Amino acid sequence: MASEPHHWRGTEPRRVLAPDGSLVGDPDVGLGPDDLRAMLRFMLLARRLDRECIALQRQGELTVYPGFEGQEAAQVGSAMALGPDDFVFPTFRELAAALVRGVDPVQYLAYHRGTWHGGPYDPRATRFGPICIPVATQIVHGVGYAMGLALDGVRACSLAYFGDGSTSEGDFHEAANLAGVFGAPTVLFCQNNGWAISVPTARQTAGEIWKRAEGYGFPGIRVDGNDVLAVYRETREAAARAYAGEGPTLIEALTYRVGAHSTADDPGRYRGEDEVSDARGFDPIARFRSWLLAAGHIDDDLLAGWEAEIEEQVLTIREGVIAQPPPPVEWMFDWTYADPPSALAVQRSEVLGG
Amino acid sequence: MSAERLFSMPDLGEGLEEGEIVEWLVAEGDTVALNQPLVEVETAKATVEVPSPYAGVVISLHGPVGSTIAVGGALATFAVADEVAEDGDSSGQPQPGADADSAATPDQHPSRGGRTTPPVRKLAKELGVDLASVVGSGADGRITAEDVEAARGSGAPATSADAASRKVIATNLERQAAIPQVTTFRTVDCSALQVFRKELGVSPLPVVVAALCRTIAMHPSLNALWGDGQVTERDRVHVGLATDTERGLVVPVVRDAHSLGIADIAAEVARLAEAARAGSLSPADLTGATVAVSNTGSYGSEAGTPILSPGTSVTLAVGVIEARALIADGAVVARPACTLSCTFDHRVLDGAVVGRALGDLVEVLTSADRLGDLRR
Repeated sequence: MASEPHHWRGTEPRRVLAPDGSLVGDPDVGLGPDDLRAMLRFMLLARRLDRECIALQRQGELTVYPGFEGQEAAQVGSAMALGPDDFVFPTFRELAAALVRGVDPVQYLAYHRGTWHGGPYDPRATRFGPICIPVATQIVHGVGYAMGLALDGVRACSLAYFGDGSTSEGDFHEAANLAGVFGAPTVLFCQNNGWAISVPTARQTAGEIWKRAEGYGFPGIRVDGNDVLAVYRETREAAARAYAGEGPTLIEALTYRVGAHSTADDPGRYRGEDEVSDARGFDPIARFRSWLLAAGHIDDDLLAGWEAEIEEQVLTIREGVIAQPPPPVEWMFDWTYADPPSALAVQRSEVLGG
Repeated sequence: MSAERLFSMPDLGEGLEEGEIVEWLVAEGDTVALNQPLVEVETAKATVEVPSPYAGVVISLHGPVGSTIAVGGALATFAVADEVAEDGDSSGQPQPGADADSAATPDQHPSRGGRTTPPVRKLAKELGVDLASVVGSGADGRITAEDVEAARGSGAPATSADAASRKVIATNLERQAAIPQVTTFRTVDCSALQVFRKELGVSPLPVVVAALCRTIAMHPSLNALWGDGQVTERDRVHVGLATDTERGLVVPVVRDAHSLGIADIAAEVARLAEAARAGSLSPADLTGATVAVSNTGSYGSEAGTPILSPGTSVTLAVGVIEARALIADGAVVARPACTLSCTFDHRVLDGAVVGRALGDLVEVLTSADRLGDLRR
């Protein structure tokens, strides 16, 4: 067996399925066969779409795109564990979670095509916030939103996604500390994928991320982020604690970024091929699919049918992305300032040829 | 039936300008599937495999291995089944796959006024080139920096440049007017100066600049600046010369004037004046003044109250040199003379300090011996 990604060392993460797909925990996480199948289908769609997005960037149709291959279980498992009133605060790498929340992928990808800032989907309708490029700021937003939920007396929670790199930001500390002090109904969900662009987790922190929760006064959990059932179960329990007024939970999901940080990055410059091929041995989709097959929830015919459907679905998304017209150029002036400075008024008229 | 589609070199990173062909993964005449690996390209950031944006037949590959293609330049041409093509679209869309929907959108960028990029707009402003009169040679008819350079001097009207430079002047003056500044005056007998500068074959200005540098060596606080709640002295003396041009006031800078002789200062003054008239001053020519001189005499003014130039604590206006009635040895005599008007930042300098410094400056300018001590 290939060796585990370097940053998985230390405390054993919670698991339902071992990396080889064998059962090591209770598979009854509260999902019926239909839901289990939907879970795998989301993961398959997410991976195929992720690869298409990278191709679209190489073809000049997207400006820049951050891939998430290898992180499908962490995203799909956690997003599926949330209720319709819960609110997700994503980074820029949560397309799989967005799919689960019902965000239109063409609208989501408008951001990466550069035709819309933040994506034209309605965050209130999908309860999925705008794509957030600044590192760790969305954790603050998520905690603030959760404090609002508590003040309103609404039985719901927020979930903020972030990476291992975010935990070195002041925003993470401030948000986590505030969440603990005010008992905010929030889930702080760290996808520790081993790399913050070129910085490995070992250079990010000398400790284990999940353990920091103790210092903030709330539970921290380390889960195998490539085990979709375990991710689902732990997120569901964290949400249940939030609903019950028991405050925040920090979840460290151990996963691995198989691809580049983004299409503008060349990981060959800072990590070896061996590490990546080893990590592929812990693939989240292969693990879950193997268990579903063994449990009799799916068969090869179903998978073949899905493959054709997903291919069709992704081509439709591709065409939708390419068909997006550029927005009227004056929007960048009209929608930035309530009262544009005079210099921008001059530029606006120059651009419009006036 | 099939239609030709051109695939242009995309920006494979963020803000890259070109890519080098490492290896073609298909050959001309090959039938390719959508997303089939097409070419390996090396950019400044990474080596990446580019997948084919079309399903069809490769008609041509536009560069040999090892060649560099600019972003937006032709990479490969395909023949694609005509169900995805439409009339008039065979000449090569810059965006692969741009279809009827996007081509027909009502928000096509207007070409009137010249489609171009912000740096080129800035360049056009600096050079006084009206973009509306320039024909673009770049992708999509975009105006390039080269187009603007070429259009310069072609007599394109420069109305917008006038307005822009007026605005810069206004903004600078408004900001400078907030400084507590005081002006003091001295009248100078220019008899010795006129003899000296004619001997050297230069105008009075370079001599005044050299004399001012000599004075600063004795009174370094003239070259200081107020900022962050304190006075900072500066070793190097860069003299800004307030210069009148067709497009308004500019202040080109004689750098390190303290280390130059009068001849070098004169040459630099001439170069800057010429560049100012031609509108070809570089940003380096226009920034960094530590002290300023305004030759208000050039248009006949006797004295003035100049406003400080940005970055300076002293501005010296040199009035017109003309015959005046001066008192020498108790008698009224006609002598060539001028008035020096010295505006200073009162936060940095007190009146007595400036008074003493001006006294030393006058001493240099009026004494044949002291003038002779200046570096030629």
